[in-house]
Amino acid sequence: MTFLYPWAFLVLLAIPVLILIYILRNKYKEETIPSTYLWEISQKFLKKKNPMNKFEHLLALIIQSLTIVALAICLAHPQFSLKGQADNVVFVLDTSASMQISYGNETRFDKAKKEIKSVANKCKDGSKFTIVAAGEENKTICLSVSDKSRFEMYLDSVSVTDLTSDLEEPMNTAQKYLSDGTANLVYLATDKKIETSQLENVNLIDVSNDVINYSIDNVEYSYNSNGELLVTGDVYGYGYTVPESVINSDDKDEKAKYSTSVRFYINGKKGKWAQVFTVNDQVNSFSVNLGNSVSSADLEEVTCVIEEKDALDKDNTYTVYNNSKVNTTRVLIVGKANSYLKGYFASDKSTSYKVITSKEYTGKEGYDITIFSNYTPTVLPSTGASWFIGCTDSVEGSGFIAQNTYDIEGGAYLTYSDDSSLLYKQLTNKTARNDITISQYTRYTLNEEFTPILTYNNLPIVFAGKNSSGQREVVIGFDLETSDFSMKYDFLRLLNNFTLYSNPKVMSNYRYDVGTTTTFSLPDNLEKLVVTTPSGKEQTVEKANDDYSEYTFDECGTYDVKAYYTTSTTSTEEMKIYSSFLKEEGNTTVSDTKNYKLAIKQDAKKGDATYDALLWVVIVGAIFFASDWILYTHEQY
Amino acid sequence: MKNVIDEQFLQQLELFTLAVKDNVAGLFGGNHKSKKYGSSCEFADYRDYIEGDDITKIDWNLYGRFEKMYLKLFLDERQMQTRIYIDGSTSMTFFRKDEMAVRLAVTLAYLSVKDMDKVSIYVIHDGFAEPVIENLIGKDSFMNEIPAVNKIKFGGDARLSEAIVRSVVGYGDGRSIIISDFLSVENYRDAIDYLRSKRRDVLCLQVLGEEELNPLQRGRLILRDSENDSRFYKSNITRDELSAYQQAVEYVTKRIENFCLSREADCLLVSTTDTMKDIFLDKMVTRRIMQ
Repeated sequence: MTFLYPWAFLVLLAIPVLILIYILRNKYKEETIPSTYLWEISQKFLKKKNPMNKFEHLLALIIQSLTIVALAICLAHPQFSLKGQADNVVFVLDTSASMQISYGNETRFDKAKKEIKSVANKCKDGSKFTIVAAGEENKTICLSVSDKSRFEMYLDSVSVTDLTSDLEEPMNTAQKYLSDGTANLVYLATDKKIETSQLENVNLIDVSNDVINYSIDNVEYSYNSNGELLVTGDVYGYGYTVPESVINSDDKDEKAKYSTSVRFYINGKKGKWAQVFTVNDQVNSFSVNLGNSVSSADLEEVTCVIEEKDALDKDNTYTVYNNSKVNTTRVLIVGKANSYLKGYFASDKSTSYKVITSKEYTGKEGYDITIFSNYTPTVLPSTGASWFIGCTDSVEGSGFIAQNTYDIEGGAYLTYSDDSSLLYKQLTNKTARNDITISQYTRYTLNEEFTPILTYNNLPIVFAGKNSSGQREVVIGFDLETSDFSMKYDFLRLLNNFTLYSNPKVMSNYRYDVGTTTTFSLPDNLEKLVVTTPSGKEQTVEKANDDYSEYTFDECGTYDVKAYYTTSTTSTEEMKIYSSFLKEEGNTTVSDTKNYKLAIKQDAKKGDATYDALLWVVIVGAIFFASDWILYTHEQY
Repeated sequence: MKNVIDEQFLQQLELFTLAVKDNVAGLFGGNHKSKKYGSSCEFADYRDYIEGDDITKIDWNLYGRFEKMYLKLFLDERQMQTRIYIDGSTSMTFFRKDEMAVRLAVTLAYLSVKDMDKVSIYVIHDGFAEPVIENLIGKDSFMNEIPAVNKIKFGGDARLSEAIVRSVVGYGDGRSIIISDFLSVENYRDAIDYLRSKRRDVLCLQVLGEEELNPLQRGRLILRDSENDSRFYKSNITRDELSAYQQAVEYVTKRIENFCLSREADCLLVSTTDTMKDIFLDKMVTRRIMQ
């Protein structure tokens, strides 16, 4: 037998105190009364005393002492140990988004937790429990917890995510616990369909259920030439089967039985609805003309909602935001502008451009980006970023010195550098890494920390960075006319990336899937970004010395991004970003085909179970206490 | 005077009188009947006419019938002498028994004076009955002299029989009232017998405190007698002891009552928690001590 709180035996010190009280109490007290006459007479009426009555007070002392002993044992909380009767259990709990699918009146996740609690409660006291959460990341929530109420607290703290999950990593963790003897039993709680043959030494808590679910994805909007709003998207259906005959039929009524209703909301106002024939387990696209009630300038958001009641609400909504009210980039081209260069800026709706001659240039034009094309200025622009295309001379304060210009006979290829910095990743985002041929280049000596993007013989030919004044610069060290660069796919991608870098908008894309990591651009005049997640959590990204910051969207819904600037022209900027539910997680009938065959350690030992004897001690103590009271009242009354 | 009497209560007492068992042989006119013939209106008997008798008392109807002269005799009204003895021992100082005793004495004294009787109050210390008030007659004198009861001192021993036998008790002329707790081995019986032999009506009022009737003592105690230091009672007082005590109380009060009954004396147990109204207008009326 062991005791949880052995210090409680200090209560036994009350016994000698009790004995002392009895000794003191047994002393006779003196009292003067009018006459002892009646007391003397009463002797005659006194019944013969039972000799045992002498021990009556001693009996009270004994009972009270036993009560104190029982109290001490109660407080010490005795437990009996039962060798090798307790299990050490690992629970692997799937926290993927599909666990939010309903299971009766609760979700699959709630059902899984309930089952886990039920298993834990059936285990003997003294058993130990470990929880491994299977999500985007494998995480051990608690390790070898023996207190069942504490275990339940840990279990309650695990929440389902909007992300996908991989069971392999967490099962490897479970295997590790089996191998090192931490555990002898593994339970896997998941909604993925897994066959018994795929499992060995794993107990499955299957919370999958056959329910119908619809989801909506890839919604986009555009305006046609008549100014009408067109919305397109995809609808998916799971958990049912549309007969082939219906799929191939032209019967609208038959098809209507397998259609979902999609309602459209423009700027929060309820609008039209459309019926979408939804064949299970495949893409069902729709395209709807919502008219010209709202112009593109006034459009803020378009939301599509599936109106059918199904097993999961989260994937029934998709919102697209119009953040085009964010600043347009103003571009000034100084010198001889390449036509492809002009063509690019003309097509980019987020930019506006102007071309001036070198003579007209003063340096005080105040554009977001000033491009010096085949012209080397004497002064840098007072504001904004500078691009130098084909500049053969140095500019004071630019951070680089132009050396010689070289002709390459037969041409040469530029190669992408091996830089791993965030800036390089941003500048080369979505490039195809085409071969770019040049026949001429200018060699530069870099005095500042520029990031080379394209090199020739390890010489930086195309590079970007900040000069000593902190102004952003992009240098293309060759004349576009002497290269095939303008005709390559990467020309548009790089120009887009250079534009974003030079006049960074916090972001250019406003739609992501849950789990996607994006990069926020942090303009020079940005103080901080405050991101509010769909669940209301606020996260702050400080500018500090960084130009970029990565961010992962791990919740489904609308994110509010507020940018705080230090300049007075634009003090704050607000954007809405929609993070959509992963459509594969809306599939109610997903199977996991991997095998999870775990090996238990040969000499794996079970733990020692405990039997809590507290209740019996309390009963015995209560009996002693009651006996003492009965004896007292009998004596007195 | 201490406020021992409620005036409203006194007014209620006007309607009552202390009952007297034997006809009294008082010396003065009062409201009680005497065995001697006198001048009241109540016919008592006939006797032969003797020369010199008052001829106005001759019953001429009888003469007409029997042609012999007979004299009508009428009862004589006589005055009672009430003597009240208060136990002045130490035991009476507990539980306000002294106060109750004085109140009882004053009330009984009033009842007597309102019937034109004489009243004397004595306090018994050791073997002597010390007079407090003697031969008080009339309400006016009562109001003037009754404050003397406030000077009664309680304490020491009180041997009732010795004191009463030693004192002037009178003969057949009234009531003797003993107010005591009767909690002593001392033989009060001698006092009652003596008084009865002097043809006096006897009333014993046993005054006990509520704590004496229902003691609160519990546990291991040495109870010392207030009148005799060498006497004590040592015991662990439990429920059994208390039960035996109750039986002892009943035994003692019953014993006094039975003795008084056997001597044609009245006896009444009074608790210090009883009101004067309860005692006089209820208990005493029920027992026909008052009417």
